[in-house]
Amino acid sequence: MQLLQERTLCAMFFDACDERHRAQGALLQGGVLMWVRASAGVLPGFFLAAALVGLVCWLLPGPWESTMVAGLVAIFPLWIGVICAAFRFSSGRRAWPWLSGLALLALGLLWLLQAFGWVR
Amino acid sequence: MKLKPATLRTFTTLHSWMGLVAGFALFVAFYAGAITVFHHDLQQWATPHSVATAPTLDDAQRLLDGVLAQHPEAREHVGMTFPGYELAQPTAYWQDRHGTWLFATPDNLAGSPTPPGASLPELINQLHYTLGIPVAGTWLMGVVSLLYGIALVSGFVIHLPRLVKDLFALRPGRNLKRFWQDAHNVIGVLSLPFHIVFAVTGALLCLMFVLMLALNPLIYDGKLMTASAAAMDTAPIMQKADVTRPLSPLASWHARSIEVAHDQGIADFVPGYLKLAHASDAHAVVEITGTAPRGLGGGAVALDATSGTVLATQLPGARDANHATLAAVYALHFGDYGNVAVQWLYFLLGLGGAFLFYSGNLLWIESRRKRRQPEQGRSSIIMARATVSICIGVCVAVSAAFVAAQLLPWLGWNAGAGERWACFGSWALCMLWASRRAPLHAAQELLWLAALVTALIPLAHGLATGWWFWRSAAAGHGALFAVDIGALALAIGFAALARASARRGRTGEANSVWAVSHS
Repeated sequence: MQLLQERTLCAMFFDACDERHRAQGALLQGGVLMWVRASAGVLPGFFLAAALVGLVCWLLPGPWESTMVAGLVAIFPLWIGVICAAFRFSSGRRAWPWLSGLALLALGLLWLLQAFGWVR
Repeated sequence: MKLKPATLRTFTTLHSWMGLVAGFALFVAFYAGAITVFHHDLQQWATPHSVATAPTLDDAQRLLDGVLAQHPEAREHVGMTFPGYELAQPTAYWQDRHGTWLFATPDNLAGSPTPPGASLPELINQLHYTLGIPVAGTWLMGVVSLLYGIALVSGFVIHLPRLVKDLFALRPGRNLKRFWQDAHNVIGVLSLPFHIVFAVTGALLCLMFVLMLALNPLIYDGKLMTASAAAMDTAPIMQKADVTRPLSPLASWHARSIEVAHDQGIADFVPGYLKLAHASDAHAVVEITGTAPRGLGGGAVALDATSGTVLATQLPGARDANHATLAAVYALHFGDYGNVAVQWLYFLLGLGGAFLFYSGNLLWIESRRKRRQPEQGRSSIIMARATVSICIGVCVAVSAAFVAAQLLPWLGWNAGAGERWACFGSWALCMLWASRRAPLHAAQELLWLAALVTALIPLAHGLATGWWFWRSAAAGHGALFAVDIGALALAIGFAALARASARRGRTGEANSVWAVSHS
């Protein structure tokens, strides 16, 4: 009986240790995951926010100069929004390609429109 | 509204990390910022005998003529405040050959690199937007503003499921975490629009230049810098005619700008400062910027400085989008629209913001509290010490600068350097003290110190200038009276907080960094 109790206690102890290790591992992984997603929001996220501001400013009727200051203001909430949205991705490995791709696409479109003089 | 548990967890982590990284800087920015709302009144309070003088436009004309005659650089570009705008005296400013800004007043036409007037308002302002760190401080605070924006979004998201239900809940009682959480949430939600404005405008004001450098090649096709003058100034850029022609009198520009504003439906336009380019050339241009309390941000009128012909206007109600946006950004950040009620609202919301970051730190400690043992985690003790030393320390430091601003000139010492020493020296001493004491004791002692030093402010003012607050009230000097009485009210507030933390130590939960048994 006592042996059994000891065995159970031991098992419980090791279980607890295991649990703690797993929790620490998850926390560490969670921490790394958050950093990767955060960096995706900050770096490609900035280019995405900039490109969206650029597209709106240049596509609106009238010259781009007339919405210049509004664009400079709008970039901050937009960037903050993209950074927060980056945390909605399940992992940083998904966030980086998605945000980089979208940023390149939007910037490419803007540069194309500017190069051909289709916007002003 | 329901959220996935994983999302909730991510955003909670995000929110506490943002608070941890940016919270201290934001506390300082909001405490100093709340005081900076009253920088005009502070300037008057800190300038001895400023209430006695009342210079006129003739003094301003004399200043302008003298500066233009003595300084060839000022003939290219010179700025000048009208009497009573920042200071009672008009001030002219321009860049010399080496790019150094020089400031001249009617008493000092030779110019000096030190701006006239008291240095206290500028010290508090620097604390607000740089934490007192030279050069990199502005960029640091720009980044802090961005982190603050992320903290706002993540805080809003995690509170969203209970936002409506708990809006007016403030539950005191045994569960302290609930109480602080309720207080944090209600202030956060009710002042959210104010905080959004500050996250965005703060980031813009600190990072505008860096941002423009980055965006210029990226989305503006390299044309941003040439376009920015037209988007932000009112006066058109003119080439010099190289034909000499005398300027028309300054009083005529002043009157003309009021007249033009009046014609556009702005009855309360008050000229604040002017910018004059190419003085004594036939193509001299003057731009007069002024305030219009009933509009969001003032406006500007550009005149031909030799004939008085209107060249361009950007006034409330008839501005282009760029000027309207820029004026709104400035006005919303500085709170200089409307009347004094708006300024008091900004002051209270600023102090409320400081409370938001302070309570955030308390919540962080409370949620990591070990309930079953007196010993608390290392991180909790470090956080408690840092909160006490930085947050309560800066309150002591700001008040010490106020006292020094009055006492040092009275004793015949240089106020400008002395204020800095008093401010940063006392802050450092508070940090040193808090690092040696148990958090509860440090909190109580520094709060009593803050109460004492803040109560000394009206005393020092009375001793140094003779303007005791009852005398200022009787003479109708609202600014002098308000600063003194505001200091007394804050001193009483600090004393009440000191008593509350002593009570918490005695009667609150024993297993905490804030309990007597812990220290």
